[in-house]
Amino acid sequence: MTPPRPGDTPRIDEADARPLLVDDTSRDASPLLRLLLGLLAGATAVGIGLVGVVGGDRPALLPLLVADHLEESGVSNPVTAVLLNFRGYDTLLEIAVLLAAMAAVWSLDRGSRQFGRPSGEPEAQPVLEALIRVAVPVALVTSVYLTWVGSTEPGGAFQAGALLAGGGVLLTVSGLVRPPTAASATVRAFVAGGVAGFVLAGLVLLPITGAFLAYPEGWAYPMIVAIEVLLTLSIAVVLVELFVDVPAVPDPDPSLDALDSSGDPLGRALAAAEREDRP
Amino acid sequence: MTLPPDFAGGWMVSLLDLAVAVLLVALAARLLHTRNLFEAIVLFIAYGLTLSLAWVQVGAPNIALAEAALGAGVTGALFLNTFQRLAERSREGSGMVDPEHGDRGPEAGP
Repeated sequence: MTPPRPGDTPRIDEADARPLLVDDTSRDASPLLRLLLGLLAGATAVGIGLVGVVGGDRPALLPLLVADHLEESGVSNPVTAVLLNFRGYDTLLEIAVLLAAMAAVWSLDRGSRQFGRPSGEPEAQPVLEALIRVAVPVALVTSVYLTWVGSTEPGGAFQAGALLAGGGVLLTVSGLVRPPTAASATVRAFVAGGVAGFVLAGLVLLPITGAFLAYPEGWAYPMIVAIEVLLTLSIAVVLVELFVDVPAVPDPDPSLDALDSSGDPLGRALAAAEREDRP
Repeated sequence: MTLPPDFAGGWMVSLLDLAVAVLLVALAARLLHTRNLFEAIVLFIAYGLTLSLAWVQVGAPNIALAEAALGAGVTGALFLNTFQRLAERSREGSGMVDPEHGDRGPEAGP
C-alpha cells in the first residue's frame, strides 16, 4: 500500500461527511432489546466475579499436574511445556489456522491487489525513518530473545513472531523496503514452513516413539526450540503478508453506483438484488 | 478469595487493579458507542493495552505479552490499515479523483 501522505488521514470533523468511515447505526436493534442484552451481559460478568470472590479456595488441579511432569517436558516454563509439549498438537492446529487464513486472504480477488512501490518519488518521512532506525533493530533483537527465553521465562513463538511482524510492517509500510508478496517463493516457503516443519517433526517421531509428536527421551528441549524458531518465522511472515498482500476492498458491480451512492457496496448489492426480485 | 501465587499485595496494587477494571469497562463502553470509526480504532488499541495490564495482574505474563503484541499491536494496526483504505475509497467515491490517474487509484499509473 502507499505510505500515507500528510493530507490523507481525514480529520475527525470530516468523518461525518464520508459514509464509509462512520458507524452506521440506522440498522441497530430496538433500544429495549439492547438494554436487555446489556443487562444480561452485565449480570454474567457480575456473576463470574462473585464466583471468584465468594466461591472459596479450591486447589487448582492443572498447575499441580503440570508441576509434577515439568522435568520430563524439557523446559522449565510451565506455559511453554503445555503449549509445545503436553498440548503440542493444539499449537500445531493454531499454526494451521494461520496458514488457512493466509490462503483465504490470498485467494481473494488477485486483480485488485495494490502492492509494490508506488509510482514516482516517495515523500521523505523523517520522523517515520527515525522511528524505524530505533524500533526495528530493537524489535529484531527482542524477538530473538523472546523465542529463546520462552523455555524458562514468559515468552514464546507467538509473542516473538508478532514483534518481528511489527518490525517488518514498519519497514514495508513506510516504503523503505519493497513489500514481499505471494509471488516470491521464499515468502510462500516461510508461510507454509511453520505447519510443514511441525507436521514433519511429528511424522518423523511417529516410528521413533510410536506416537505423533511425542518427543523422545532427552530430545524434548532441542526439538521445542527448533519448532519455536520455525513458528516464529512463519508467524512473522504471515502477519506481514496480511498487511501487505491483501486485495483492495472490492466493489461487486461499479454500475450499482447509479442506484445508491451511500458508500456501502454490500448494501448497494443487496438493494439491487431486492429491486430485481420485485416484479 | 483466590489470588495468583505471586501476588505482592498491598492497597496500592488493589487500587491499580480497580483502576484497570474500571478503565476496561469505560473504554469498551465508549468505543462501542462512538460513531467515529477512527476514534473506535484508537480506543480499541488502548483497550488492548489495558487488557494486557489486566493479564499481568492476574498472573498471566505470557498472555499479557501476546495481548500487547497481537491484540493491541497487530490487530490495531490492521484496523488502521483498513481505515486508510476505506478513507482512500471514500475519497474516490466522493468525486475527488486524481486527474492524472483517473479512477484506478494512484498506483495504477497514467
